[in-house]
Amino acid sequence: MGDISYLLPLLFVGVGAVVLMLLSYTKSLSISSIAKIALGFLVLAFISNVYYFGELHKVYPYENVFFGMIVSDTYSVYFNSILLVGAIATILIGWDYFRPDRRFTGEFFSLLLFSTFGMMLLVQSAELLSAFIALEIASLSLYVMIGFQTDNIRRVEASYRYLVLGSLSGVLFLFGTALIYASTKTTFLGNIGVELLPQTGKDISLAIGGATLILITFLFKISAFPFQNWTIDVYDGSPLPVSAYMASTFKVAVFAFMLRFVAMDLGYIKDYWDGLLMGVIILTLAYGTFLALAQNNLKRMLASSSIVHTGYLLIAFVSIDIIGESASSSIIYYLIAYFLSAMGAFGLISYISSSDKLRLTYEDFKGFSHVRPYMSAMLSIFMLSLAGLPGTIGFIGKFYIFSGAIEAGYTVLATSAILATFISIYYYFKLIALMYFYPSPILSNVPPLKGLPPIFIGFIAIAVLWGGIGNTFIAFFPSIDFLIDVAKLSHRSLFLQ
Amino acid sequence: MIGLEHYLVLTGILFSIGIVGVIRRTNLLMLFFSTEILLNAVNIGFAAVSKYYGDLNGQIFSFFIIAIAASEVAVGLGLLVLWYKKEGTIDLTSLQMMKG
Amino acid sequence: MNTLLMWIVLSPLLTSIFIGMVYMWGLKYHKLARQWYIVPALISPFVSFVLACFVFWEILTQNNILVYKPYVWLSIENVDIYMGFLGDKLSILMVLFVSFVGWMIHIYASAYMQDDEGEGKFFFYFNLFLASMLLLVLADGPLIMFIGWEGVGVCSYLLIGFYFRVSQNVVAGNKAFIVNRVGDFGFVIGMVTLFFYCTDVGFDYASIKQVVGNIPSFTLAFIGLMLFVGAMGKSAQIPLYVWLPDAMAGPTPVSALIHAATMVTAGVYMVARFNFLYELIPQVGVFIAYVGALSAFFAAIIATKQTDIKKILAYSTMSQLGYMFIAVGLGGYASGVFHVFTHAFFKALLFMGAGAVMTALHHEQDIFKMGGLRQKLPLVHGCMLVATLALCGIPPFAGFFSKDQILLEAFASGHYLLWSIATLTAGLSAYYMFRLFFVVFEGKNYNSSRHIHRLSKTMQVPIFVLAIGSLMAGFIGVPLVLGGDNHIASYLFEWTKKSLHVEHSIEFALMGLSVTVALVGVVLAYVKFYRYDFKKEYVSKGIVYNKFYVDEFYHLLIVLPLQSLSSFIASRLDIQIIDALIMGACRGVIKGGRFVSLLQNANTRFYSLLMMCGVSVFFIYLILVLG
Repeated sequence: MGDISYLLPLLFVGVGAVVLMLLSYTKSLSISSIAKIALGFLVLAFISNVYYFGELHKVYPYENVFFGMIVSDTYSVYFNSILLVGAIATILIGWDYFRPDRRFTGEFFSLLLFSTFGMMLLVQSAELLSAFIALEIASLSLYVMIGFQTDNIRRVEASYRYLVLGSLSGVLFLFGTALIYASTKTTFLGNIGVELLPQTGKDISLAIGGATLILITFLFKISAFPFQNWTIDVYDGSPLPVSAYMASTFKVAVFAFMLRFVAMDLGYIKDYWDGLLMGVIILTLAYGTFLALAQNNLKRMLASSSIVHTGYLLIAFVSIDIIGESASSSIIYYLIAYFLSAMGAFGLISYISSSDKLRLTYEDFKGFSHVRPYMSAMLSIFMLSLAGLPGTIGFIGKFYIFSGAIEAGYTVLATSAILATFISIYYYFKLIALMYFYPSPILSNVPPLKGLPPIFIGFIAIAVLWGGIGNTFIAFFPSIDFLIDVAKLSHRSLFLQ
Repeated sequence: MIGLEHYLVLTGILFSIGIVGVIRRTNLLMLFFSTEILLNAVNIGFAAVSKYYGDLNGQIFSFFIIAIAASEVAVGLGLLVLWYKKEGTIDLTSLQMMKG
Repeated sequence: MNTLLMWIVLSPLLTSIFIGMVYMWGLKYHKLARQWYIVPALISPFVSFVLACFVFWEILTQNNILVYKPYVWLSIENVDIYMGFLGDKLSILMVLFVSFVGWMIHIYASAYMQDDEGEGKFFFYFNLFLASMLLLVLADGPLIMFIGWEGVGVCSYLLIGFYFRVSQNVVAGNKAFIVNRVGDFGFVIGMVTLFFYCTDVGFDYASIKQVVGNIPSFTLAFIGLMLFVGAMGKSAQIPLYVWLPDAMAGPTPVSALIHAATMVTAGVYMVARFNFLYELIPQVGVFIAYVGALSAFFAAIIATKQTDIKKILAYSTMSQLGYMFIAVGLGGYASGVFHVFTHAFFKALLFMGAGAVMTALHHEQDIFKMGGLRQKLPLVHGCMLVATLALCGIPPFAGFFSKDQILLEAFASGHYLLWSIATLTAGLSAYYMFRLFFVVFEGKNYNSSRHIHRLSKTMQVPIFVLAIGSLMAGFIGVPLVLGGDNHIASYLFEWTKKSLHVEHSIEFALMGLSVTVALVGVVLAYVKFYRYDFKKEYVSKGIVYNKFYVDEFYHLLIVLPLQSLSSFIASRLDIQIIDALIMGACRGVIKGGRFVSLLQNANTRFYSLLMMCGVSVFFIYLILVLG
């Protein structure tokens, strides 16, 4: 197969993006056929990616062309699978949302693919500047996707805010890269770590500053405490499928890169961040929790709660150098758990509100279960999973993170996270309570349960439960442990030579 | 003799100017200028380090950064035009709809 | 061959799922013909039975143990727990009669439940029960057994409360479920404790067998006791027996299958399954035997004064279960299982006969409103007579051989007290069973003008088949002294008591004595009840009739204090302290939320300022750290 087979997923997505861009010029194709083409490219990429899933390898494809800036290893294959599933899921759940009368055109799908391409490149990049370029490809496409419905002023505002703050954080990343470059004369992951070893006897304070700046960009993108303000406004202002896409995939890609960077190079520097990150985590948890409590709009609530979930993830991130492999696998598992639950919740809400009547606040869901029992059940499953109740994938994810934190000695963090979980039940269960404990309202315009999106969301709901049971009665069906095992394997693949 | 540190200090100063601009300016156009200053500050840094080490990579980075800055501004200006058409102003304070 | 083990369980399981779905479909759209439920429900136990026969033959001829482990069910640390099926002599014997008796009762139930609107639901539960029971028996480790253990519990609960429109039945169902929870709690504790010693080898019986030797004897005794607490609940032994009489609220086929023939014997089976464990702790075994003997005796006494036909049979079940525990407690696992085997036939038959009588009399359950049914229901009469004789231990009926072995073992083990209680109970059993029999079928001055409902053939055939079973089942265990081969003992050689030496003369004497005691009971019953005058109102009072007030005692000792505690917590602690605290905290937290959302002021410049403050704090921190 050669090196090309390692690049096929990237190529399919990139070529697909270009093809869609060209196709969108012709007006003869309907939006659903364009969506189908986009789906086709993504599925092709996914298949070519899954080919290497779970296989321990690390390859620098076409090293004479890319000079090892792009890497393909078990780790990148793992994350690419999540990202591709996320992109596919976005198209599927938004199937009814993307309509010409809502000003969605073919370019939107081209941008979606570009953004996915950027994220995949970010996961696969083994060099700081290519990582930055990948990050910018992903972000720039997202800015436009957010503001795509130009008639809605909120979209424009959200896009604008994200653009300004995003480029500010991007500049910090660049500045950090410059400092690291100044200090170590290289920007390649792996080489940086070698230069930073204490044995070299160099003054590395410049590199520490640079790494911290990169950390800040990372914290911005995953919306951790002092850099989180954009999250709610942007999620709120975006079209719902785009919010779902952002919430579930972008975080994954950014985490993937940061984990790789920290694991390969910053093992030594990371100790300096410990106290800092602890403060960040506690404040992130507190901020997200308090903010979520105050929201009436479901989208804003989910956005605020995504801040809380960032806090949980960072806990595992902190404990990574003490418990290593199991911490990174618990991050990966939690990312999958959050990915599924958030994708399901956002997707279902977007489906419910895909007819033009907006149904986005808590109040709109009063007595919803009497009108749409299956949808309510699915929504409840996602809320339970986000809250981390046993029997859902969210519980297992939280369990790994909390137990890992306690094992690593971060009892304070674990305690505050558990407290945050405790309070989170309020805003998640509020929705369930409203749906079930109120008399049936007179609702019009709720789309019935039919077509592609509900089926797909139903599958996500089943996956959430399946992941929560962990093991299964069903014979010969892989249990969820398999995902964890591969996650551990992919962590190991980072250190292959 | 002007050494590496001078360039880095210049980078830092330009960077600070850019940041203050982003924080202070209410005019959208000025805000974009500020981000450009930020990016170019980094460019200077890269070029200087590159020269210092005799390693051409850094200067190539600057080109990439210029390209990215251009695309960022392209998106930004597009939004700005959109905004101006709708609201007739490019004042940042008018962009405050999503409180709480 | 090994996969057959799985299909034995899957056959009723898949059928039950099918019936459940068909039933739901029927509820939602239009009513379906009853063949949709009946045909699969009747086929599945038969399929299990045939498969079991194949496996049985294989085991008998090849003399090997079949194990089938399709997949890893749980993986804890380095222990993989498989969804494993174990077919050895013991489990296959159980499967054989469970599926056979189950099949018979299914046929019977198809007639009994004919006019019930919940028929589909009934067979859904019934097949699910059968699947759980077979899983319990065929499991290759305690954890898989526990799945079946809980499965049968759930089905039992659902079927006791089957007529859920009467609140009494629902209460009975709850009672059974809750009392069983107490037992299961013990079982789980025992299992978990055991697991700690098995973390290296695995958690199936074969692996546990390897490690039991290393467990300190005190812990081992604790494990044995705790597991037995589970058995107490499931098999209705003192003190956790109170649910069984109430469980008779369910349809009669349920009582026959679940609360007589199969589920309640799960405890005995469990102890026999863990024979390698209990062999190391004989003192616990003696305790088990005493609990069994006391239960047997106690239940027999209560049964002598009851008037409800099903309750009498329920107490008799408890009493017979007591016998089985005497056997397994003293190490005679084979005899215990043998009694399980024979008991399944005659007790199921008794219940089915009782059900037939009740059907004929339009759901009358009070035996003192029956009487004189001999001419009206000749077949039922004959079959009930066989079953009653079998239960009383009159040779050559099935119960005689199994009960005799138990008595012999009790005597030979030197626990003469146990033996005398058991023998006395045999007399009592004979008395209360013939009391029931005479009152139902004989007597004078009964209301002869009543209308007798005709019994269908479908109902009578299984009764007849089981009557033959009750007559013949004992012959597989004819003791050596009577010139038999004692097939059961040689078949279950692994589970027999090793050191059992009794003189033949003593064996004969014991046999004679137990038969005599039983005959005395029969004669007493004959004198008192053969010509019972139904004109006289039966005086139902006294401490025995009221079951020694045990229910009331439990109510006073456990339920009432709990109730008052919970009402105290509900009214005082919850509202005045906890609620106040939590609501106060909530208000504070929500207020905090409002405050925080002030930061979210949608001002881009403010956001970037905040970001830059963050960056500054980061760097100040770094400077402080780096020095």
